[in-house]
Amino acid sequence: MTALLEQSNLSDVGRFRLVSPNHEIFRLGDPVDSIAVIVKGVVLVRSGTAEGDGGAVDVRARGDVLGDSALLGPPVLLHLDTAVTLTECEILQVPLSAFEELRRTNPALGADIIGQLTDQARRLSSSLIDLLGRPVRVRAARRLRLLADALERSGMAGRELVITQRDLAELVGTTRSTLNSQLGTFQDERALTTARGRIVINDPEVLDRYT
Amino acid sequence: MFRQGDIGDGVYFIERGHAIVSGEGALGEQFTLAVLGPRDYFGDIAVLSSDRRRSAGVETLDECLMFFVAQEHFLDLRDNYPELRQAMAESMARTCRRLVDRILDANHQDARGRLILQLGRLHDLFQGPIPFTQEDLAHYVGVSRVTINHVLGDLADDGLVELGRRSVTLVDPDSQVPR
Repeated sequence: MTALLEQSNLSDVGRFRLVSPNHEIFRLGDPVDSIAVIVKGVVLVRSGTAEGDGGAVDVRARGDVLGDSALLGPPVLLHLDTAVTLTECEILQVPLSAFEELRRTNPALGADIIGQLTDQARRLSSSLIDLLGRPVRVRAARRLRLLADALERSGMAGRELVITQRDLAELVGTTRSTLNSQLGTFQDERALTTARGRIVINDPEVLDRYT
Repeated sequence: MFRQGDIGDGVYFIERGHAIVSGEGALGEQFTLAVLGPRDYFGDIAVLSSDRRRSAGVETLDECLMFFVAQEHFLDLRDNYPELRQAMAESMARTCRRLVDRILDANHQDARGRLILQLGRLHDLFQGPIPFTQEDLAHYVGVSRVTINHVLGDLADDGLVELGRRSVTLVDPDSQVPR
């Protein structure tokens, strides 16, 4: 999962950046001028539709790529997503032209990018199947488990996630009120604690009982 | 062709005919994620990711002619042909976009639309009256009990469903929205 970070030539042409929680790395509609790889932390991806309304659909973690709108091939020049940090993050930002040049000359990097997109497709496909065929408590437990695993990948287990109930409800595919009552159940079971715009997952294994 | 969870061994290219990609719900019911036709291909997710399991099931709809490329050959193509590598990346990026669009569609439907969709699936599964309480349905659809109660009442007033004590019956399943 961290194959991209092991591509040393990416760090030769890229720039490492530290960003605080709740920071927009890029925004839907921004021109795509770089690709980023997450070195540390957790990032939420909100996607838009052609009609312009969108929502939180994916969570990315250490080793994952951001800015994959650029990988759709020409002539997509605008970001189709907004990427916002849920924790303090470190990202490796690579200018698009340098990235494309590397990808052409380095087959291993090209294969890693395909692997990365494939993992993403698998994650999205499983979200869609959950959304269409699993009850809301299972979906909520699985999405929270995904967030816990995303933290774990950066060695940040148990750290606070800065996420609104609206984003969390969209990730789960439910209303805020249903999410709230579900979070209440998980909180009673000591799986997590919530505060305004924040959540701490204390015991991910409790969540597994619901999945 | 294969079921969700099977171990993948290669990629199928459709030359002629159609196939449906389906997911499996908590009760074992199947629902359609995509319909594929000539020049589409499937099976690449299990072959290109570290997880070898099939992410969804695929079933043919009519007589198909397909071209099968075993995993090791598909990976050879990826590693030795830059143009194919580029095409595989773009194709997978498009697959991700289609999945995102489906997720957003499913999320933005209102409670009534979602309930009708799920009632249709459950009707197919049970081949008749759905033996669910309103609470079961609320859990299944992912909305509150109050909302389910409200929407079911509306659907009953419109003559679309009949409500029993512990069951819901679709009056005319074929006239419902496509699913």
